[in-house]
Amino acid sequence: MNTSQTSTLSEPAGDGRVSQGTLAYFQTRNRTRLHDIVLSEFEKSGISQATLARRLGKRPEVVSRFLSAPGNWEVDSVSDYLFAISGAELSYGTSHPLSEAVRNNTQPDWVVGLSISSADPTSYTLDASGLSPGANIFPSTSAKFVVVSTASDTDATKRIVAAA
Amino acid sequence: MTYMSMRAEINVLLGKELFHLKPLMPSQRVGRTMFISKEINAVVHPEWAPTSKGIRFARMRGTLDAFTEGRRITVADDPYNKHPKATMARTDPVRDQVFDLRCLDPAPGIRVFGRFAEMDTFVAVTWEYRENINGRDFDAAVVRCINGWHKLFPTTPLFSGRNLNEYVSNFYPV
Repeated sequence: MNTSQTSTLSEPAGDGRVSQGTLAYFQTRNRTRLHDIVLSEFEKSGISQATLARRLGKRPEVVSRFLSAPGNWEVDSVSDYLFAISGAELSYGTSHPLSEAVRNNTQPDWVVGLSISSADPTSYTLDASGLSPGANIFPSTSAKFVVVSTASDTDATKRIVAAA
Repeated sequence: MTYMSMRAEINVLLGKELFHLKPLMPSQRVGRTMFISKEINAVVHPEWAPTSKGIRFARMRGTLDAFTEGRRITVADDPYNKHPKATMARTDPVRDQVFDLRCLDPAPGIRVFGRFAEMDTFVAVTWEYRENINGRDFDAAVVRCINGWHKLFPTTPLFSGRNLNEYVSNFYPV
């Protein structure tokens, strides 16, 4: 049973225009990651919002609004907040999340069922002791399954057939 | 009356009425669990249409992934005394145990309604454009979520925590 519809975004290639949806997703992703970093640094510092407001020379409600949600923050604002919180600054680097290895442990161990990544091969055999990349199977399950894909199947409708 | 456990109920529904939403980035660690209804499953996967609606759904997925990736999020416990920018908030009445994930950008955003099945496990049942649920329509949206929940879990007792710490980890109260 396919318990999670998996879908992927594509890395840029050639002259093809990156879709607006992909760009919007990554914008939101980066906003939430940055918010996580600033908020975590603030909580770790142990200072109050009032103290932070005084350090920054801003009104408390401005600081409260900034910390309350991800946003399209200016680099200068992030710099100001991180330094005022704890003398911190961002660490810089890049990663390529769409080309990194797929994680296998992406669902709670109590979830029964097979999750199929669109990166999976179209046909393979799984058992509890040998998992194909990108696929998960409940550890107590001993039955073997074969995922069968036909020309009319999409990734979301690959059929799983109990083989043994 | 004998109840199936919530976990057993979810496993029965998986692949049919509920889907496990994993972070879109395949390499991303999973910090929390989210199950989504067919209604939500229909809009959160790429490719999104190159329209304003498509962009809103892409950003909505970004917010849902912040939850499943275990990012630090802001959560409001009091429906009538919450920060307007909270990422997650309880809805009124509190006894109904409905929370909404608040996808705030682009304004006015999208609200995703659901309940916790257990700590750090959210079942997202319905979604609404925020501009469509002003005033009493917001209450109706909460009721629609509750009705959707009852169709999924007609007899399973509601999960109820004593405070936010029993619903969600790594949060900042606002």
